[in-house]
Amino acid sequence: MAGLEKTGNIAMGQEDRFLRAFDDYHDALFRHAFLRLSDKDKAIDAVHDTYAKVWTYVRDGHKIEVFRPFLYKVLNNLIIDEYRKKRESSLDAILDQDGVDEGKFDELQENTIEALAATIDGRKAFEHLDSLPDEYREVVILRFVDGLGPKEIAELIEETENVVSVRLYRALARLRKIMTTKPKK
Amino acid sequence: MKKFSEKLNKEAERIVMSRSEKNDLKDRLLAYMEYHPLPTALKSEEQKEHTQSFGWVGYISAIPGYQLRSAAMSFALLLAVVVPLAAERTVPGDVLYPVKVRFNEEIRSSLSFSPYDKVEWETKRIERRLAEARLLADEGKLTDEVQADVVSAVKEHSEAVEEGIEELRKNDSDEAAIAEISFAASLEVQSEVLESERVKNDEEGRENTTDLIASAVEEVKDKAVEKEGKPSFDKLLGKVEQESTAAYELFFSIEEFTSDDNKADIEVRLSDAENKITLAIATRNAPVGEIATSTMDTATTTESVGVADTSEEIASAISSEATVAEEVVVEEVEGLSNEEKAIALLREVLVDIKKLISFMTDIEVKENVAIEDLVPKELTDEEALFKGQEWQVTLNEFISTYSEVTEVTEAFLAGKNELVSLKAKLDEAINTNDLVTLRSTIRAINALYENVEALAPEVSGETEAEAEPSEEDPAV
Repeated sequence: MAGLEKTGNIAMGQEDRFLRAFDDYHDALFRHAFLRLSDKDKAIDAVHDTYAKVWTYVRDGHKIEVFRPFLYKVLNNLIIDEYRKKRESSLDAILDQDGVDEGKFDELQENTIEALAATIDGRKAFEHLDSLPDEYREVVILRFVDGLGPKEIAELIEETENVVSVRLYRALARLRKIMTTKPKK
Repeated sequence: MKKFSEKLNKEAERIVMSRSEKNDLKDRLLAYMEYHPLPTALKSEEQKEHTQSFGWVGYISAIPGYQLRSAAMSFALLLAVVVPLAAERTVPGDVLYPVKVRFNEEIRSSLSFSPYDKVEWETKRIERRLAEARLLADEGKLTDEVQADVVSAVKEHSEAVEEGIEELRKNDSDEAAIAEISFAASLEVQSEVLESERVKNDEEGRENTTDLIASAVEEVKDKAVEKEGKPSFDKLLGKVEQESTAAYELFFSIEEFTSDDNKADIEVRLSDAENKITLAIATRNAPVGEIATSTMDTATTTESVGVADTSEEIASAISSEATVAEEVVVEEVEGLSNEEKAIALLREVLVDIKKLISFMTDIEVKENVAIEDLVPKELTDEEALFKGQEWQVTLNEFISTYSEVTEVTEAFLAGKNELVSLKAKLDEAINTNDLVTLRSTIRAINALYENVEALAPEVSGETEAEAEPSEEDPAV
């Protein structure tokens, strides 16, 4: 999934590369932002701010070899900022909760998550995504909508791969639980 | 899992911006970029990278994977370095020969920025083609085909040289004239080498295969000598000094592995060249009508004489300012001004030094030509006088022998007439003790005499024996 990106080659000018990155990724970024923020205008703003920040970074003379992970990283930070503004306490609570258990699932493998995912109806799950805490929704969207691998997600949210797997597993488990308790939204 | 993410995605894909939302977003972003443009330094740097990355290194660094990249890099290295290096040693018929001629030399060509460099390089290319031809001829591999190629290459490069000279002439006629002289000198050397090889082959009873090439070179050489212009004294002096410095540097660098004989030979000629330069300067500064009579004994005495002359001359030049107008008339009557004489001298020096340089650099040249043939040792004043008198006698005989002969070729007749006028010049130089003219006249006679004699040896031998008495008998 994360093979060679089409976002220009090194020979292209910075501006051209940047605009190509916009054309290539703004849809996916918007989708991600919308799923996380549940607000169309905020999502569009988040995408705009993401590109504006990246452009500033380029202007400062930095080199961006591959745009996709970089864009996700910036967007993710912006979304987290947005959450901090909105419901700081609940996020902290979730983080604390996670912190207790994480690391106990060393043996947790990708196929465990896949096995769990196989038991969930994707279409229905989509409807319940916004019932998940953002911590969980983030990894689910990154993994199953944006199609990032566990390693990429780990780099993006600055956690270990192990933590990502654990979080994914828990997110799916939570999602399934929500779906069974709240069959229709 | 697949089912889960597929279905999830299917739902998610419905989340899209409307067309107008998209356009708005893009407009906002473009406006942002416009108000926050890239710093110019970054832009120019970007441009640099741009152009750089179009080179082969750029292409290679775009190849993914370290091993693949390094393999590609070694291949490129092979193409860019090893092949051209290997190609340098090839001769026509070798696989890599086209690389040498069409790649290495063309690259070198495109690196010569000034027209003068271009002229020098094209001259060098002629020398290279001829060296290859001689190498092949030595091995008996010089086919007619290759010979024709070499001939056309010689013509092609000499045309390029002429083009370069024309280009030079637009900006700097002195440079152009100097380039012409250098070119002619180089061709003279090549022509002599080919000639001596022919003589050697004849002696050893081998077939000579370079006739076509030799005549082509001869032709180009004659044309070049004919076209030679007259550079200004100062520019020519500068060039001569530059070349003699190069010659000295070359001499010191080969000193170690040159035989003592060779070393002494070269040394003598280098100091000859220096003496001539001093003489040329003195001649130029000498008052009109007075002939520079510096001795050729040693460099130091000549130099001191030259300096002394100069200061005296300046004094006399100032005192005789009033007579300048008259002197100009005198100059014109005499034909050559001191300036012209000095230039002619410098021209000789330049040609000699050029030949010396090729003697020292070109192994082929060294193998085939004796240094004496190439750059005759300068005659001392006594030697010059003696030689001049010798020639007077020889030429007298020659002229009287052939004066009655009518059945000769036009070329011989022209040569003979030339010798007659040279003889007149020689007589005058000896009578007026004009050593500068004497030396150049002797040199001219040296070059011409054998050729003229060779043109009609049999006819003359027989006609001399038969015709003379038969013509005289009726008279008696």
